[in-house]
Amino acid sequence: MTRTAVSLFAVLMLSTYAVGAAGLEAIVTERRAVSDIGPGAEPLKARLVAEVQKVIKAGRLAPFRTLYGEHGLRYHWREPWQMPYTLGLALPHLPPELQADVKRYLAEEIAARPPWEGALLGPDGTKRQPDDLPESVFRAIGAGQTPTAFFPYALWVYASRSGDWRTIRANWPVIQQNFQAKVGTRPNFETASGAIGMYRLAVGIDDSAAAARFLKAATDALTACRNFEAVRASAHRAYTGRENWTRESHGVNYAFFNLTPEIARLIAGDDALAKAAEAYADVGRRIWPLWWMAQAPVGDWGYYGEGCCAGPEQRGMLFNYEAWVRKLPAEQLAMYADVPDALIGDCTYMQNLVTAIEAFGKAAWTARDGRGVGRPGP
Amino acid sequence: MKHPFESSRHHPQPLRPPRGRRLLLWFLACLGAALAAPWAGAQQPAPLDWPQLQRDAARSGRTTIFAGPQVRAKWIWVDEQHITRDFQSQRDAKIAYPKLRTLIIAGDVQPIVAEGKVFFGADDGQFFALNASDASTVWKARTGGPILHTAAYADGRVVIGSMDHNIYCFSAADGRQLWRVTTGAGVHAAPLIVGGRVFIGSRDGVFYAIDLISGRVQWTYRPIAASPEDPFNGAPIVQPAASDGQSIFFGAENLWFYCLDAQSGREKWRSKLRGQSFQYSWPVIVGEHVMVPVMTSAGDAEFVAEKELDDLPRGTAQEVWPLERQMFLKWLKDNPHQQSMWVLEKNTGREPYIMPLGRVGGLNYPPRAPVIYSDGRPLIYWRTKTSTVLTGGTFGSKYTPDISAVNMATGDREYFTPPRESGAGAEIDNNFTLTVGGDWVYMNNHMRGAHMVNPKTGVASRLTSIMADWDGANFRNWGNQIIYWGNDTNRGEDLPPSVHRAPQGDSGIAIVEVDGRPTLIFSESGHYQIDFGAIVALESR
Repeated sequence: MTRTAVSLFAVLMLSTYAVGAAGLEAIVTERRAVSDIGPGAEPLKARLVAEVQKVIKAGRLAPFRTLYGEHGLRYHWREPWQMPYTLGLALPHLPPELQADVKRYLAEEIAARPPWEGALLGPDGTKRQPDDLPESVFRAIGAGQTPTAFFPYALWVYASRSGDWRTIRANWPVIQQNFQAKVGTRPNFETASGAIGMYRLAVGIDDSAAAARFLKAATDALTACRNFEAVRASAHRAYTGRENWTRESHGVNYAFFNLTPEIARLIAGDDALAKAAEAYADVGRRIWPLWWMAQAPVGDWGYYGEGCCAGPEQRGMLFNYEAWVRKLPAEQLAMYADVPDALIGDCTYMQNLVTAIEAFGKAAWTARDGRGVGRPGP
Repeated sequence: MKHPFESSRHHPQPLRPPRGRRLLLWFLACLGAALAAPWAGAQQPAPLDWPQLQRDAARSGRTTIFAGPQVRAKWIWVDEQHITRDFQSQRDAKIAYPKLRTLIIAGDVQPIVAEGKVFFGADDGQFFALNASDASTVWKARTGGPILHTAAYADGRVVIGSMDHNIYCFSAADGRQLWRVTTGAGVHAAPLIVGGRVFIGSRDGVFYAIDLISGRVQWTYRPIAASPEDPFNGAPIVQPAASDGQSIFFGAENLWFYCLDAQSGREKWRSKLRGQSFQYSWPVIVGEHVMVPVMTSAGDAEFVAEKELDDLPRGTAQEVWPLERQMFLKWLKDNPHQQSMWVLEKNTGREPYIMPLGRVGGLNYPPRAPVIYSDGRPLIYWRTKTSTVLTGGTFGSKYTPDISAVNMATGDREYFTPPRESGAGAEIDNNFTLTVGGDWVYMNNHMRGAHMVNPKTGVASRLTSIMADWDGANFRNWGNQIIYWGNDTNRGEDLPPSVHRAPQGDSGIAIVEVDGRPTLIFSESGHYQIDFGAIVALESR
């Protein structure tokens, strides 16, 4: 065996070790904690507080409506888990009195629009944009696909940060039932995150049998996700159907939809996966160089692209990748956070602000303790 | 490695145009400007320059000199290493072009011209000052983020906004950074310079007035929507402002339109408009009014009101326009969200009338901003069945949008009746950006090329086209004088994946004098027109 071959073998072994069975379990069970957030994050925190205050004041929100050129009409953040997820992520970075407001708001939101239910949100609620459209035009909101299998991860973020495990416990059977109904056979980062969420919810409500079941489901999902080409193909199939209005858009970066730190850890720990993911991300950057801008125009193969802008969700896809996989400097992420598309309740913008804020701190994965994953985060 | 804000300096070439001709042109231009500038109280720029977006503070888009209709390419600049000079008109000719695209020039960027230099920025944060004679680099500077709009020049200083959150002022002579103002978010809008001050909004939701010399912020204004508690307060500002010298006019992304006192920043009035965004447009001052294009929230684009137009009888503009006028007024009453152009009284913000204007623009475009014609009237595109100036083809819709004037007393269309058909055409949803030189209207579209048409005579000239095989972009056989290509991915060359363009914010053609000759300088590129992009200078043949 040549020296080169030995080196290659060693690298492969190291890679395998990093995300081997134990590594995959750690991804599922360990909790990411952020500490020592530096003063550079203060302006971002102020912006986050302002955005959250607007949400609290506006009450229940209607989906964000955009008409970004040839994308056609879109309604964004129609999945009922989006607001619990977004405000759950924001909670640790808000002042105590606003945290209390957010918890009240989310309890009402979840009661009215349970994230585990099967329907996308309709047009009711305060408008997120000042377009003055006639109600007949605004309310022409189409039927869409049902919420994705990501919702358990969103619920875990909400429950672990708000402490509201009672809601999870009370609805545990239907949460399990609906998650199982949504899990497909194709690998998908978003769904793998959902499986991780199911494990952590089970731990949080002390359902050890379910926890064991979902730990296996999650590690299986993560294993399947190590085949990036399969993930890419699956994501593009899932999100580019025209009937799914919130997702259909050129396909750029779709594999990173609702990327989580756990999936980023999987990518970073697997050389082949990381290389494939980076090549895919680079295509996105190249054909969409201003991806981080609100209303950034976007082009694509085989599509005229006249007057098109990227919808807000697309900004979040590459943002999370750049933050958690590529680990760009916090200052760069602060610029990429840019400004909201929606003047009220821009979920992607708030999520990006949280990510940028936490980039000013130190992130670490806590040692597995069996139950810690279900407890409140930072 | 250079510091991000370090300038690199090059030695400018001396510019020595023929003195006699220069003086004559100067005199004629001054005379023209003095006789025909009732639209703005603001000071006028040097007659042979184009120092800011659409040339002046009123955003008139107008000068008295013109080039063409027969032109030659003086130079075509793709990047510092790829410049084609003395390019002779010929079909499908190659120009100096990099194997891989090196720069992207945003669709909104209109090159400005002053002191014999061409100023513009690129997506990679570089800001260039080229010698207008030969496109050699006089100096360049680097900002920390993409430059997405047009610069502004006055008193030896050139100002530019960057998405790195800063507004920069450089010495026009050598590129030294004179000052920098940091805002809370990326700066997308073009600066306005009037009365020794820079006025510009940022995406941080603050409008800034800055002393041009010192760089000191003199006042700021945070856009208020309906009330001080409105959640839409402090919305991003992406629209370049306009001014009549006393007041500053701009829209914020809360869809409110503002008039501020230029001296104090005090709000004089604000008006709520309808739509989705002010992006890719700017207000234009017209006498006692301000005209405001808005990107609507409405769907559809090229077929808007198609059936209503179908139902009208055929005939001349004289016969049919009165019926069209009634039809469009009713259509807008029934579909108020389709209104894409506002006329507001400059002193009150009141809307004196609704123009009988079917929607123009679409696909994330507002209508193209008005320009002021040589007779002082604003010109805009009109959705009509009875085109008189633009009589050539269109795309999708059966009806070519026309260029006609606006009667500012009534808002009605005042169409031209040229003695011949121009054969020039336009799209309803993918218009050309307009500027005016003499009696000529210049039209630029990053995908469709550059044209000029004289509404009085009907004479038109197709100036340039990139050679392309994309949807609707192949104008090889359309009589363009100058056709060039860089690396067209459709021809199988080794390039990044082909990206069909999103030509947002096409910028108008700057009409200036270079080396004693009227010259057209403009950008032929869009944000994502990765397989072609250039700054082009044409002069009369």
